[in-house]
Amino acid sequence: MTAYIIRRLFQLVIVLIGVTFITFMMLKLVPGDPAVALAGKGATQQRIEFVRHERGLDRPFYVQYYKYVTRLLHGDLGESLYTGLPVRDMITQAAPVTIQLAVAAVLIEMLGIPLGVYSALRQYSFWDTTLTTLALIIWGIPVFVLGYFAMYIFGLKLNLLPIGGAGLPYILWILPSSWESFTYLILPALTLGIIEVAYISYMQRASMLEVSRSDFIRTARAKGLSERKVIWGHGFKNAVIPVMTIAGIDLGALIGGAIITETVFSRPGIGLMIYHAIGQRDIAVIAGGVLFATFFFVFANLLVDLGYAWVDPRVRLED
Amino acid sequence: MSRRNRKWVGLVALVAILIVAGLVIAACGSSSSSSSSSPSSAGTPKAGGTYNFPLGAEPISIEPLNTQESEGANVEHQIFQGLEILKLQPDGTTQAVPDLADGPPQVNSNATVFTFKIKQGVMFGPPVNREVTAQDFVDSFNYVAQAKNQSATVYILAPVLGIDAKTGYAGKNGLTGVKALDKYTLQITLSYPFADFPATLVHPITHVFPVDYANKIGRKAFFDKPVGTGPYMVQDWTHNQSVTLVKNPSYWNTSGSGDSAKPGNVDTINMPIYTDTSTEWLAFQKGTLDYSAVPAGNVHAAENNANVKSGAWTAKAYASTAVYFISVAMNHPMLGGANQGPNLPIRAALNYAADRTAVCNIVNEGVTIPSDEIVPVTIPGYKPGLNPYPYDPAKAQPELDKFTGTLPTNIPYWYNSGSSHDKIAQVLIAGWTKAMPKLSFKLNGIETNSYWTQCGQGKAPALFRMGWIADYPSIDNFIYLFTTQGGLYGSYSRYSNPEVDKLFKQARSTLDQTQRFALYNQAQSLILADAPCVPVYTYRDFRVTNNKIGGFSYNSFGLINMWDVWVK
Repeated sequence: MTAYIIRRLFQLVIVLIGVTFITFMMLKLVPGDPAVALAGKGATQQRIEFVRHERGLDRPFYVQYYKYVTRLLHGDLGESLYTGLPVRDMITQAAPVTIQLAVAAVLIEMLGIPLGVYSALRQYSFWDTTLTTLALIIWGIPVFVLGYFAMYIFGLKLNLLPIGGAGLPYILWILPSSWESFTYLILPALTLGIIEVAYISYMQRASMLEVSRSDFIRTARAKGLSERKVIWGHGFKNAVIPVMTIAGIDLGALIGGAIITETVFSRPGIGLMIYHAIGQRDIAVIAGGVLFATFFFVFANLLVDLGYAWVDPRVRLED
Repeated sequence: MSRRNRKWVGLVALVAILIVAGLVIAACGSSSSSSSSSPSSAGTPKAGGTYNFPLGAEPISIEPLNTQESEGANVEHQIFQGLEILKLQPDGTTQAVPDLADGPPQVNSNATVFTFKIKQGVMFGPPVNREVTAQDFVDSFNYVAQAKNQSATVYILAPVLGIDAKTGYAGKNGLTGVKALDKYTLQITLSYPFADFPATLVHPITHVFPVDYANKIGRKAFFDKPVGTGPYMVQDWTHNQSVTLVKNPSYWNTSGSGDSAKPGNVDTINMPIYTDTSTEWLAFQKGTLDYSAVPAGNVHAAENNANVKSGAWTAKAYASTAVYFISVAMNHPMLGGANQGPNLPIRAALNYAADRTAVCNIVNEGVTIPSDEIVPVTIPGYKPGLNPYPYDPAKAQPELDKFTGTLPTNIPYWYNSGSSHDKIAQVLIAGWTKAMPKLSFKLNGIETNSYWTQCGQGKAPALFRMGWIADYPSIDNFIYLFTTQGGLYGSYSRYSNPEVDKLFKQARSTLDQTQRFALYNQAQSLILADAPCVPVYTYRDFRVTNNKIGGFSYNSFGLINMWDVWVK
């Protein structure tokens, strides 16, 4: 197991280097020139070229990349081309906002597991039909529509929760520091989480139904095991694995940025940071943000893989 | 009823219950909201309270060095001051008037040397707390002009002697044109005549700040908590979340004399950042904010809102100094070429048939002002009726018939994706093809950064969307766009007319304002006759304000004098 983890962490380093390389290359290939914006309004070609040279944007791709990686190995993510702020500081400020939301949303989406199991156990019943239909409806609602609706009802009309904001400051990096701080998390987390609840419950139901038709379940029943033991001891453990994969990927992806949710709720997270930086071709910020997101994505997947071994002993993480 | 039917009836009933519950909740909330605030009458300003003003994005900067967009500018406006300040005039124009300058400058006969007397007793706020002198202006100008400080707005200082024309930054010897003649006398020498130069001194980059203090605490610390001479100072800037300003306790203009900022009324200005206009608008309705932009598609609803009708809120469109036009690629043979050459009838016909009113009403909900000129109505010197091809679709086809060549088909029309540029293009094209059925167009939406890069490189093949926001209140700002240099770097049209260049140069060295405006407008007439663009409209900003706040004003640069606002 330890060797497996070390091997995966080593892979992570390679993935991170690959990601920075691809990010740099893509930004070189797409049209658009940050020097035009940096030179200011109505800049002459000479001035644009001067600014490009001053910022090192005229260096060959491999030189810029080498310089970036060298700084990266010293823990320096560079500075924003526009504000001059260190990217490390920008990520440090944005990351807690994103992680808090991602973790809360994934915790909420876990509610989909019992709902899916419940649906599967009562296939074609009134509640199965209702839950499945509701899941499909909610799943089909765009997140920004749900976000605005939630803010309209709970923020404006009922005046129960705040509209927009990240509820800073936090304690222990990501935890709300007060009830008021927590109230800023409720709507975005529910908005993001409830859509995933629908998805997870739908997946869990399908997985559970598939497993329940398996030979080993039939065998378990034939052996005379109690229905409770058949379902929870054999069926659920197998049915939850694909759903865990989805939840793990979700966690990683959400840390990469729930851009729409962050925009709608004015939560200045990683996704929003990368999105704005792409528009400005602010390469250090994009690369830094992508690195951060990739790290968490790979890390979350590693946790899922380790979780497999815990849920299903047949899955061995051999050295 | 079968078991299967019962299931569906149950499901429908559940959904119906949820919908009804939602509507009941909404209705209950609606009544409480509409009665939550009432109109207040005007009264005497009083001190205290908090003004809640949202920012639409994280400011790029809130200090003179790099303030660019309206968010940063509205913060900077409360903290910093310069030689001149914007003043909203009764006719709706915004003009530059003396601020820290003790009256208008003395100008030499060819408009290259401007000598300013600086007001005495102007103080930098805490923790600097010292008097501002002419040398502080010299230091500030030199600081922002240095290449190493990487200002993106240094182009404002382009006329000042000592700026390297190639790089746009100060040359090796610094800004040799900026000198302190004595403690309170500042002289600025330009490298070319520019009679409207004082108008440029409203721009943030010309504002004074304590360079010694900025150097002492370091770039990043000053970026986060800059110090100026204005009535407010930064208490906190939590990046991407909010900026909080508090009254400057040692503000110098205690008597509130002249056009300089008066001492602030409210104790605190709270500026939360809302990255989405719809969310900002909801927060305003909730009462969290005292001011809001209105999301697209909601203007009429906002105008008819019960709180607006009752007088609790004010909904208004404020004319700005920005224009929207369609540039013609004059370097491309399809529509360009010689100014008065064979393609002129096509360009003129496009102007005749450009249904600007439809664009303003259909796309912009009536907020923008149709305009067939380059200069917006809010700029001093604006003169209507200069376009020889005003909207008259009946004249379009006869004008087009004057074109003797082969009519181009699928005329490329570029725009940057996002906003409403695609809809504007569709409305314009509908008008053009209705008046001239043989014309056809091909729309091409391009990602914003790529778009500006390609337009700047002269790659747009025929028509492309352009806009221009004034940096300072001068007609020069707009006529420049269609000079030979402006055609390359401003409008990207590659338009060039030596006669226009000559009039432009002449206007810049004319001290008499009436004569100067006449020369600029002569140049504009020539430009419009050559039709290197299709002007479409002047922008207006639609804003809703809570009337529990008094003293609100909004100038055409989108700046609010927050020292004047007070909580009723």
